[in-house]
Amino acid sequence: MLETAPTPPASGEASHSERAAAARRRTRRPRSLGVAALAWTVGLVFFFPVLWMFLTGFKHESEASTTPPTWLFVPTFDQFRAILGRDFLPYFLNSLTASVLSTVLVVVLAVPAAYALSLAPVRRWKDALFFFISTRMMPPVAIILPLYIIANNIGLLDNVTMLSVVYTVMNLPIAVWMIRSFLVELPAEVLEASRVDGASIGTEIRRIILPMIAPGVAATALICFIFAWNEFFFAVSLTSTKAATVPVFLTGFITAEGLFLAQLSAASMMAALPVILAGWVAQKWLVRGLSLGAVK
Amino acid sequence: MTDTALRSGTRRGRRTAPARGGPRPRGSRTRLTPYLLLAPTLVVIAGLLLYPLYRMLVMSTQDVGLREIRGEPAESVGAANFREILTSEVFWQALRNTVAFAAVAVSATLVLGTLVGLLIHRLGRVMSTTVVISTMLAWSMPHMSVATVWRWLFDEHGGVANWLLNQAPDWLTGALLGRADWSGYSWFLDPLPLYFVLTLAVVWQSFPFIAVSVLAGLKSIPGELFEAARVDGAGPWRSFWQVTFPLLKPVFAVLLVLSIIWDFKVFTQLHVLAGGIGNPAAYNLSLYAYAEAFRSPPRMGLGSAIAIVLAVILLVITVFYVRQIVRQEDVR
Repeated sequence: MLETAPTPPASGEASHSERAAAARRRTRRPRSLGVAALAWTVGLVFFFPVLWMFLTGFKHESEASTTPPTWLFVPTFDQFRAILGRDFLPYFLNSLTASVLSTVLVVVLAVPAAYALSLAPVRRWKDALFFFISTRMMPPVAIILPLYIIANNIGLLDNVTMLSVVYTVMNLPIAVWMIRSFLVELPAEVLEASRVDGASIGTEIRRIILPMIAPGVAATALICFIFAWNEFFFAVSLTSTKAATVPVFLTGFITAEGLFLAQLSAASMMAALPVILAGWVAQKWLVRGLSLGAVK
Repeated sequence: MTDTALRSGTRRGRRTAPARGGPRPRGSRTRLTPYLLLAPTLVVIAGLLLYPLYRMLVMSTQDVGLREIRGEPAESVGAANFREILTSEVFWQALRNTVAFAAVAVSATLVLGTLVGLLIHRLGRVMSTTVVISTMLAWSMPHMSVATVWRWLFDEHGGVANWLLNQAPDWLTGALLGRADWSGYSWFLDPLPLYFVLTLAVVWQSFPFIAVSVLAGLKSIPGELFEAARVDGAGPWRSFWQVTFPLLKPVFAVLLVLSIIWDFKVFTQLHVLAGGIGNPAAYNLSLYAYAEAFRSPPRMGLGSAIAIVLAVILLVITVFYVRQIVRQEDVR
């Protein structure tokens, strides 16, 4: 996205860059073979555990834990059926509610905050920025105890709203940092123009800034969604039955470990599905968004 | 919290509404509005983080058990919790585990992530998309599921790892790992093999993020710079240290801080691999704090004290780097 178009070389440097192109042509063939092999290896190494899980999800329990591992088997949908029979849906909906709600809140809060830390900086904005990231150094264990007691006192234990709020706070600092890094990239002239036109700050953000940093905001939102969807610690500590999310559901199989391997992998697959879908859909945005913010 | 957000939202709306009417003196727009824009986020974070944090500080000096959770006033014990931690063998073991793991995992993640980023950068469109997708797939899986997958891969009976090690020639595994027969070998009892698997699982899952960030950075470097370095006779090694690294320094700094924060606090994966809180030798500081706070009977004061120790360590390590990042930005 930020890739600069190759500029026509100045006359003095022409031979220099021609020589470079020639050098590249010469070395390309043998090297690209090695690179391709390496790339395949990396791809496969990454893919293997996912593939193993995928395969196991379609096995019968008796085939799931054999020595040697079973490679050939007749696929079955029994595990998926069993999971839906174990009331998977409420967990799934809780996860979806908490993740979507918290992501929306994060974006709504983070965009103005990032604006106030970059384009129209408040005094001591560095301290504010540092304060935000320093909150991420708190181990979740640190705030879980008071949070648990507070939630207990105001009756929000085992409540999806409570979980969404916690996820919002959890993701806000990173979202502010990311969105801020996109804002810093914006060309100053655009903003000057809008300010001279007398646009209000709300209009400026909505009409001018948001469209320009849309890929970055999308990438940020996706990352926040993934973090919230996968969050396990707060979920397992603050919920029990009504508001429990998918990662909590997964632990149900682990306590009965060794017995329900196939079912667990089927459940894990279903747990990962929305994230994979969201990641797939937003893949382009993600790379683009990250590259927007990565480098000045 | 939603309430606070809404309230600040309307306040903000009222403030900016007249601006639409016509041109306004510049001063009023630039002086106060940024603070109002920042306020909701500050209120949310402060309210939901600082108060619990303050409570935690208080709790770390108290004896907080079941009765206190139910609402009875807690008894202050001064620094007794901290004294107990610092004299406990479990704490020092957990500290060693935490630091050693973070050091290995952070370096491995950054090195591998950078290498894969560089690799993807050299691939054609189709191949690079394939690798990005398959790595991001790994990154976006729930930590729960990933930890579980790794636990089976290294399962003592049906695991692929033991099966593969048994397939390898006995003299080789015997010479390298000091063991020829791997059937029924459990990876999750002793800290060393356990943390080996943990490192694999964590590095495997976290370096895609590094790779994609590095890739994004690489794409923003004009290709001519690499060409020039190559023509000048620089190999890949020198070209990386002379061109790529200096230009991407801010990216690496951010990635380093994030990795340190993530790897010091790793919890979910360890919880799954260690099979809960039953094995104190396997604790890192997060799991140790959790174990003390939530065992029965719970000792939340002690748990808070451990959490504080962990937070202080992280703060000390990262303050330096974060300050540097912000300072660099200032210069630009």
